[in-house]
Amino acid sequence: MSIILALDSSGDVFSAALSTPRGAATPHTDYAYREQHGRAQAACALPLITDLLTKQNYTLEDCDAFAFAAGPGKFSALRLVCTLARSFAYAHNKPLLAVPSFAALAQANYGAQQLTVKCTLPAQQQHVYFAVCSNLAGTWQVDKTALHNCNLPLPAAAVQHACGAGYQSYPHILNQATLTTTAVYSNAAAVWQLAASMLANNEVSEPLTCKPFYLRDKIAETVYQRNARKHC
Amino acid sequence: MAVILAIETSCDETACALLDSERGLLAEQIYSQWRRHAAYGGVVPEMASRDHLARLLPMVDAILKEQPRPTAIAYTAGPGLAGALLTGAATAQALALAWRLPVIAVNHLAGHLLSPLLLATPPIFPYLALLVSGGHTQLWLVEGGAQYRCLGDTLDDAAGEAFDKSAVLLGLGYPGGARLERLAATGDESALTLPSPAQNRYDFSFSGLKTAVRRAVDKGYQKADIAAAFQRAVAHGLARQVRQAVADCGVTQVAVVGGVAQNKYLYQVLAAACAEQQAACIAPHKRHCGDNAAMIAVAARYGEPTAAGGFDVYPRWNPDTLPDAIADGNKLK
Repeated sequence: MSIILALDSSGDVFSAALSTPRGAATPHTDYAYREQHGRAQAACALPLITDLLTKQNYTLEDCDAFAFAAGPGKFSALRLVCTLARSFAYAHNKPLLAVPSFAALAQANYGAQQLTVKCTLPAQQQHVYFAVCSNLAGTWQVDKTALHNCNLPLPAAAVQHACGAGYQSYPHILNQATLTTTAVYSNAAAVWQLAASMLANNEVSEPLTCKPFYLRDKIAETVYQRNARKHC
Repeated sequence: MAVILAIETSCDETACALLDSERGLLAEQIYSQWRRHAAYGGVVPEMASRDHLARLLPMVDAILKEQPRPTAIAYTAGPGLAGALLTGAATAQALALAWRLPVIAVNHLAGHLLSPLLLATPPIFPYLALLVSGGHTQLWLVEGGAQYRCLGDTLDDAAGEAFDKSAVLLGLGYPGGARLERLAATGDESALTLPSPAQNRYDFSFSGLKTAVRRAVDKGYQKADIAAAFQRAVAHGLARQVRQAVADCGVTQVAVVGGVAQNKYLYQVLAAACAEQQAACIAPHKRHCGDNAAMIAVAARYGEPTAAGGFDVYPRWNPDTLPDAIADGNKLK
């Protein structure tokens, strides 16, 4: 096992997890975790990371890889953790691990349980980010990712388990699935847990080109589209 | 000797520069996103932030190739678009933490005010700076690095904004400032008279001028004549306030900075106004008139404040004041 620094910035929480120092003959199988609630995530991020490293007696150079929750989620929050993780990875020429936020959300709620789960995260404008996550051989596969209009029924209604903050805002889309509320958002601990197997499988991203998974790509109307809408 | 890596992401330009305090500018890159925003009629902040994230780190990598390692990192902390600023701030602070370098939070406007210091023959303090851009129209007395006094400001729109909005009224599209300048060169500036933007002793107002352009369009004046009359009104209004400030402050150098400083007609009118008062009129190199990182490096070199540990950004930061968080950071030095 390697020393991994994992970052997540979901909901109103910024969190970081770092492998704890290993003993003489034991690998890095555990992590230290810190989180900061509130909207000033940018202001707290670096002091929190520095504090976490210092308390574990590590520096950034000691880390073997940097991981972050890659989205979907709040745009600015995604960019924050993406920018930090890729800058650290670039600066020290270390692997970068972009962990899907849905996988980290499922991991935070179900750990290694072999389940198929409907995950939702808030996407504003009466939409949720949606995905079906399946745990296969200890790792979460993310499928059917979509930006879903909450006025329509969710796909994959046969799936019995559900998690994520999207159901808090739109409980009607739950559609009789059993909701788990251990974690409504992903966190750095779950990102850290998934990053270890991604690193082992060499599922690494290139720091210079890696970007968040926004999912919502249409973010503004062109002048032509605005005028067409006004004339309709 | 300091080697400063500077990052600028305040609006829709992604820029990076490397400045050696003794050898000068070693490398720089500027990428303008304006083509991406043109179809939207203005800058879309979320699109700008996404593009900054995609381009900034590769740009840093390219800048640092075969160059000395930086000894400090500077970034634009404000004013500007919050999300765009945050991308540059996070990159700068993360790299600084990783490489154990000091970080310098630079005011974007201070960068413009000091951009003439990039010239081979830079001005000597104190000098007067007329900042004319898409977001600002201000008159500053620049007394030294991190010593700026605002004499006058716009009461509504900025000069560049007035150029762009008038260009849209004239059917030239967005951003149309440069197109308006080209059209004005073919028109008769005396065909109609438009109101001067000069207000009070040193201030400006462009909203009346913009309305007058709309009325002129409605009345059927030739577009080239309207463009020429508009440009004349702007240039002579700015020149009036500059003349006043030169007389009051007793300075012998006037720097025209910001994106609108690229307008040749404006520069000629201002140069003539300065010459009347035995003052020299200077403008930065064309690539340093718009947003760029070289000016951020220069501002860092001339004593902008060191940033605190976090990376809050200040979308409305004026260069003659210091945000509390940065002031607190300075106390630690």
